Amino acid sequence: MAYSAEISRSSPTAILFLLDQSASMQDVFGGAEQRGDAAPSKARVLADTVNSLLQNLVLRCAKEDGVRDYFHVGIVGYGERVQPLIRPAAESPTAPNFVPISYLAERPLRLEQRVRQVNGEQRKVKFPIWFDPRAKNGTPMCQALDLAAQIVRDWIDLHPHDFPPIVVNVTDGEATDGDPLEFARQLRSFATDDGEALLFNVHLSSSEAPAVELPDAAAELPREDYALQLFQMSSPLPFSMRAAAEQEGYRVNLDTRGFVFNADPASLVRFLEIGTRPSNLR
Amino acid sequence: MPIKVHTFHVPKSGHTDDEYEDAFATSDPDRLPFRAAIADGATESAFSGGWARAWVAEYLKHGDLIESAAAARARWTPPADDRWYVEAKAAQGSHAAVLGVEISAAGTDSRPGHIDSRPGGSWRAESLGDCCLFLIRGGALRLSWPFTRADAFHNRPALLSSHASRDDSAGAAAMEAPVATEGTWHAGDAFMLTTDALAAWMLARREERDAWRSLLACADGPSADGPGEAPGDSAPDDRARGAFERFAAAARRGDDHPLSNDDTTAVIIRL
Repeated sequence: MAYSAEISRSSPTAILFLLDQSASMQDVFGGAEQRGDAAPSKARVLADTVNSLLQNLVLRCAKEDGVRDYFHVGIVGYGERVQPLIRPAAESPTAPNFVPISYLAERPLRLEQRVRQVNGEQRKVKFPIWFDPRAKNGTPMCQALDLAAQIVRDWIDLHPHDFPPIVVNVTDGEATDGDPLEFARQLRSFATDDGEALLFNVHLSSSEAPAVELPDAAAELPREDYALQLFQMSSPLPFSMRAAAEQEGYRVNLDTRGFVFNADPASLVRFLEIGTRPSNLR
Repeated sequence: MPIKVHTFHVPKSGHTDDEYEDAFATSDPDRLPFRAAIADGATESAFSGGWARAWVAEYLKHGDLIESAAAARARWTPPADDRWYVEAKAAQGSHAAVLGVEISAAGTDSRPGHIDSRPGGSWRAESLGDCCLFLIRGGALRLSWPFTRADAFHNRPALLSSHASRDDSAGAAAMEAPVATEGTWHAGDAFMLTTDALAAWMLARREERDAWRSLLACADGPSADGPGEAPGDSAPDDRARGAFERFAAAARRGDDHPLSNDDTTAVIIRL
């Protein structure tokens, strides 16, 4: 499979987020600078991670004349229920359960003022928030992957020649409804002409083991209960994404998988090529 | 022997003319030194077409990449826009690959006016990013600069930022330094400045003279069998433009190293 289809407004790709909203996400996140009571919950880190990924995606597509729809975005939450968290407008041109990225750009829940260091000065910047932390009940990850497979299949029916959908699963790893590996295999078996659907996993753990980004072997994983399973569920990075990763200085090979443990997953969407990107912007 | 200049551009397929983000500029071809500049605004920055145009305009005045950048930055104010994503993009700065060339008369005999008394002289070029300069002499490609291989191009070149700071809000890394080169020219030489897609296409065919001669032929006007041929009685500029559009469309459809679907620009200078 080539994974070489141009990503453009006429040939967009789909990014489907699966967000673990189970009760265990209330536990503290082990990868934060803060420790103990001061550490944020995994649910807080998940909300920050998803808001940040969506912001990055919008900014990749934003030009002075608006946001170009290189991406269709879907979001499924799993916890108390397994359900799509955004609903397209009735007239949406996208497949069911997806919205064009421009739709999200215009509709954050709110814009927060945050202070950032810019050229040595403190400046206020607007930070869009789409999701707040939520944590309740079990972790029906298998159901979520099953729903994701249906959603991905519907999208592929409408986009049989485009860059295949990318599913980004953000979780603490503990499925309570079966073995997610089988469901992950099924999801990854759906394909466009350009390649099979990609499943990337973002593991947010209470473990304080060092962060791991884009590992290529199980030996690199922390001794954490669910890291190996999530690593095995994750797709290898296709050639075009490996090439982009190498340009950013990552050491990657054919076995490198789209998996991060307690690390910023921004690179996973940054490696999708949509045009000339300043090498001095990260 | 006045300098003959031809400029060609087509937007990325599927994009409108308004979305074309390359830029080019040339000085008065009847006066030396003659200057030509080309720039390629980055897809992933906002206002990059405007920034590219700002730099090429300043290069004609200054003939120096860094001075032109400073002058362009001093004048650069993207329009205010309170949409959160436009504010964030503007804060990241605008970016473009840039290349300029200055063609001078020989030695101390440099003087304004025509150059027919001494057909030859010196040239100097500067570049930051992945635009390319070609020198064609005696029908052969004598120089390609700063890139010599088609596989050297990628999606993350160093680019000229509208922000002078090396440490802006986006966590920018240190800007790479521009590169410069120089040489001598003779009557009959042709220079070609191109943005990256066309440069990569050229370099994939550096041994296939017919392929890139078909590109140069766009500047030669209509011919009986060449791509310059155009129906009707349109003006020469229109015919040349039509020839280039047909050339680009055919090159994008090619099987072997097709022309990448990108804004595509060429400045051809015949001496």
